[in-house]
Amino acid sequence: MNRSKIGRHMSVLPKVLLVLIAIGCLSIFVATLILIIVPKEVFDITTEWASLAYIIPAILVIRYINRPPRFAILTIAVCIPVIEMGTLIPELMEAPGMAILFFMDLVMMVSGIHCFIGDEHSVTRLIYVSITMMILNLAASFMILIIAIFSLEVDLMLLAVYNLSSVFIYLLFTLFLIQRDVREESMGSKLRGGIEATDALLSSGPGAYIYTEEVYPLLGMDMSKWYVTGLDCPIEALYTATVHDGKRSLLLTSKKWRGENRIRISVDEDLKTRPYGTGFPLNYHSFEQASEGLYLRLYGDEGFFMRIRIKDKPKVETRFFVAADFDLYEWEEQLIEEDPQND
Amino acid sequence: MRALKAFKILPYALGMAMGILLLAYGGYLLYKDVYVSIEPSSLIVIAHIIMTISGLFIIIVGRRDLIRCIGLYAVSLGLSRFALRLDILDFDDMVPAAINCVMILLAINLMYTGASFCMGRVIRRLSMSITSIILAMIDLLMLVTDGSQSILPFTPYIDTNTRFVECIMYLVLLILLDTEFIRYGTSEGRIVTHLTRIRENYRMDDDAHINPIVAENLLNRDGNLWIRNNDGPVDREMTFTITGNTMEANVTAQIWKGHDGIYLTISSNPGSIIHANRIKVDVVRREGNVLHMYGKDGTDFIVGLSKGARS
Repeated sequence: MNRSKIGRHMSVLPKVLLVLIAIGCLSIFVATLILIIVPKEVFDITTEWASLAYIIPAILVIRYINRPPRFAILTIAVCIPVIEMGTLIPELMEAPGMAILFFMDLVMMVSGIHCFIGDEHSVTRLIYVSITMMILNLAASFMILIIAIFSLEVDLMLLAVYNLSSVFIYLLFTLFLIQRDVREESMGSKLRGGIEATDALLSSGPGAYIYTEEVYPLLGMDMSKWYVTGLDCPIEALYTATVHDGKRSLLLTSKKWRGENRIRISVDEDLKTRPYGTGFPLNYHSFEQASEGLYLRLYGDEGFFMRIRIKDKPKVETRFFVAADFDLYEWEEQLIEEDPQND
Repeated sequence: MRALKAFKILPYALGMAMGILLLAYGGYLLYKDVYVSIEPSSLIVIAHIIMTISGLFIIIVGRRDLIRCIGLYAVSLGLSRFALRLDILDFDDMVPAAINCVMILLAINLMYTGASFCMGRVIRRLSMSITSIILAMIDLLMLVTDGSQSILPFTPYIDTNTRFVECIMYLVLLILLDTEFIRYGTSEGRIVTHLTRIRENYRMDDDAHINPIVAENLLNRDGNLWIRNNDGPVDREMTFTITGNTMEANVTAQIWKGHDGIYLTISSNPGSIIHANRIKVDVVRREGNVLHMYGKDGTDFIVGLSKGARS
């Protein structure tokens, strides 16, 4: 169970969404206050005192805005269902079907707590619950609005708008949960990442090759292209050569440690994730002329052996689309001038 | 950690709840069939008997094999829906008949997917989830309209309480299908589990970090985190976590007697360590707010320092 992502800090957009959620909660608080204070002769709308509690998530969400997302998730996923349960209880006797909303609120609370203590998948669960609650509240608001339009009652229309504010909060919460900084890494993404890591560790194709010009620097026979590190680094100098394997790029890094004369080569792959590092000391090398081309043979300790194809780097890169100002005939003449064999 | 462990019991608690619901609901429906209904259909009575027995079975063996119990639960639910819909299927009115046919197909699918789980394999999880969602939504719709026949004439009259119980039963099944145990029980889930372990053993995120106290202990090769266990070749040992955005690795650092470097054994989970990434760090340097570790075996990595990381 990985708690890492929900324990990390958020970028700007999730914070903006949290601010909007806080504004939504504050709006409900203010609207409820007005409806309670204003005489029934002005607005004849019954509202629940429990809705005044929306001020709590409004304050807490702003307070936790610079904390990792799990704090905001806990606040919203616990406070709002508790308030809704408070408003639902008086209505349960009249409409027992509302108990389903009660159940959904309970699921939301449990998922929120589970998310806070480290379960990343609870974020996905909360997305489903949030969408369901949004749809249910939208359906209820829509029904009230239809009745209000047909009966031309302004009070009912205001009630529908008042109910829509909770839909707005659920919508924002859903948008917050699907943000990259918050959402769970999908199965497909984990699968791809795992395959990439396994490939990087254990797999390479038979056609993998290195360019001729990189061979001597890799072997330490030409150190003019080596990068010299700072005086306090245990590695005196290093050089990285690229092994091309289809669409992949493997990196062979030759390193020379201070106080040593031998070259040590590490093998990595250029991915979004970084390796801890693996390699071998270079004891001996040779070249092998096979039918398909030239190979570099590298030997390490304890029977370690590596064989890499060597290819010449092409002079011009292959392009599908030619730029408007590129003259094909002029290019061909230039090639012939450089090497008459190209004719 | 105790809270996390408490949540691990949740699937089994839900499984028990599943058995109790099935037993209670099946028993109630059987009672209605015997004492309330006039000439109940034999298919419906058989379905309710199976439901009751399944509930009892799940309560007894649920803890030992949750997957098979979920399968039994799905088959019982599907069978009762199938029996009920088949009993009221009447082609005199085409619209209700068409809707009943759809519900019969859904019930058959629930039984079919449940049968896969009964064989101990988590397959067709998505199909079962979608079927449960649709059936739950239909029950929810009934509840919202209070089961009124005038609005939805294709349903027989069933009181709101039983409709509510049915909806809860489908939702419990949905929640069970969403537990980590079931999600990672599919063939894709098992593959992801193994590949994630390999990934966490051998690679780290760009933002990988450790606790600054751990860093101090590694730099000094001494400190309060090191345990002098004097275990054979090992002089002292400490464990810590390297945390990243999507990965977390458990590291056992050891200093062996007579050896200069620090041996790191990196594994994705604590507990038994068999397959792991074993590296040797010869030099540890602090470079600003990062720790750079070098090893002559090719080890070369950087970790950030963050107070939020666990030691």
